[in-house]
Amino acid sequence: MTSASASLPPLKVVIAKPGLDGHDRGAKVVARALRDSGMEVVYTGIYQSPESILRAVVQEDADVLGLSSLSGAHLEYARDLCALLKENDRQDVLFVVGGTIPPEDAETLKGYGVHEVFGPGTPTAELVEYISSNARQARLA
Amino acid sequence: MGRSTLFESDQIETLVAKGRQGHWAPLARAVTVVENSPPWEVSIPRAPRPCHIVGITGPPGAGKSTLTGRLIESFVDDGQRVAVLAIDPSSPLSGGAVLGDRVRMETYLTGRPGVFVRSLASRGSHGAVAGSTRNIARLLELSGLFDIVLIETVGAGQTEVAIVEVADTVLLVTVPGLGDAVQTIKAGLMEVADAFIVNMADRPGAAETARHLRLAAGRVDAVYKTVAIEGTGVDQVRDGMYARWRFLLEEGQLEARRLEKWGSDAALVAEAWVADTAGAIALDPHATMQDSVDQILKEASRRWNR
Repeated sequence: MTSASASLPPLKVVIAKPGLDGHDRGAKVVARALRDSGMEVVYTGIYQSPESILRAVVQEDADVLGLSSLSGAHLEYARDLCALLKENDRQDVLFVVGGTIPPEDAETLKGYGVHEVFGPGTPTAELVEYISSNARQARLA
Repeated sequence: MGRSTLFESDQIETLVAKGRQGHWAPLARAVTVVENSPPWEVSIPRAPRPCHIVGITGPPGAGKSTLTGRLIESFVDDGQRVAVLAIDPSSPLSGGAVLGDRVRMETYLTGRPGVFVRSLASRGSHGAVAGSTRNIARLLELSGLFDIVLIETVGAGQTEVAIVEVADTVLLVTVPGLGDAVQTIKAGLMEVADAFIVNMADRPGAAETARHLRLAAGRVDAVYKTVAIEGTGVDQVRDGMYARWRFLLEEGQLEARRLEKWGSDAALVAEAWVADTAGAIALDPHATMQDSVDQILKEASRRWNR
């Protein structure tokens, strides 16, 4: 094997902010932390619809979708996205949600098909570790 | 291992059929395969019908992404089928990247389901395009799903001219006030552009910048003035690209231009292959440079003949 083909290619991550929520400092901090761990991060910008987020996941052939929500509308957006991912044969993407998510909502989100939920104060190292060790599995499963 | 054709014709047929219905997952996956394969292992059949591959380059912050978004709007609303490859730099430290070009384009994608946009990290390539860009553009061309492929480069200064190896037409986007007339006669990127775009043309100095470019650049087709954020002047660029494409198709101009690039393309792939070998073997730092080069080439030949 040559050196170029011996190592795995970088993980591709879409970081998206749905709806009427213009606060994207957290999303940018996460994007940068993932970049620093060697991942290729596509940032979609704020005010995205589930359809535009799906489009990014599909066209970018993402391994991971990270949804950042601080508006309280995470349940609706995550539910819609899970349905869209399934309809479009991309439920193999590792789907994580971060932001101001009440602990009691985490189980609901996982019920929709979200893989993991990260609340305020999560160290970025924890996020990197979770994605690194779970992304390929989600893709291969 | 060795030479391998990555795509069988039935795979291509599947991704084309799905793409026609607006299902982009198979095409997106095929792009990933090309992106992640060493270029010397990628073999893409020649497209029966060419599409216009347009490079959009220029310094960081000149408005390339916004302009690309506006060009998507202008071309698609005029009945054209458009794909975009948007390249951003990879970190030399971690190998990671933040690909932010979609941020400026999203507005123009809603309601235009036929547009395919893909972000690419440069992955150590120095010419402002990723090493896989040419092969990905050829795959998009082969699909027959697009009339035009826009390639937005990494923010480029003076020497990042690799886009000219990939594109049939190179648009150099600049803004007023980036320097005096001497900047426009320097060698490098200015010389390989086929047309100039003075973006943010509502700013002071736009007319002067455009005049300098017109004087300096005898061979370019045109100097356009745009205010991409408002959409001003974008349809003129689009119409200029139609005229340019007709010119390229007439009398074998396109064929000639692509043939001209073939040798340098092959050299780039061979260079990548040699570099890959060089990185994989331990060289004696006390040997002469000539001996080390010999060692690399011998090892490379050995591997190729396996």
